[in-house]
Amino acid sequence: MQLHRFKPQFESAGFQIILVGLGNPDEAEAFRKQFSPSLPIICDPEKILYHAYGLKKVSVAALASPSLWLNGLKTLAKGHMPGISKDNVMQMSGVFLIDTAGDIRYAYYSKDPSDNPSVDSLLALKKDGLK
Amino acid sequence: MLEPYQKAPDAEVIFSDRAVHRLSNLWIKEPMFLVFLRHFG
Repeated sequence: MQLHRFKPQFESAGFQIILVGLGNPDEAEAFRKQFSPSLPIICDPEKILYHAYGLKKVSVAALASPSLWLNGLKTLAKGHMPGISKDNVMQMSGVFLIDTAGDIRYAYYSKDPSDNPSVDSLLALKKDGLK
Repeated sequence: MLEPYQKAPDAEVIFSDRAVHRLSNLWIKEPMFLVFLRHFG
């Protein structure tokens, strides 16, 4: 997901986007400048937020998932090479929409390391009806 | 696992520019997507 490219659409829809990563501020800032210059990044090297939001490590079943390998091949075919990470690459990702009252309105837990919600599905979550 | 209509966990967080904010002070401005990455890289 290259969300930063869609920041204007999210802003037009009335949403803000904040990324969360496992690294320290220096690592996060280097990542932000290279891959996501328009989005703020929270640094969570101790995984306090990851734990609070229930994000777990990759399971053996997820690693064996055919969709993971298929999506990996598709990514490589697009010319995206995986980078070398100092973080825990076994960490799973997720996306949450939080309204202004602090209530979760959408929660997406990735099923395997290649699984992410589409930008369209996120933009389809209308601000209307949210506090 | 968290589900819709549960309260979002709040915390004081540090950003890549070393600014410190409480999450609730951010989501109170407008609905917020919080996107957890697997790793930097």
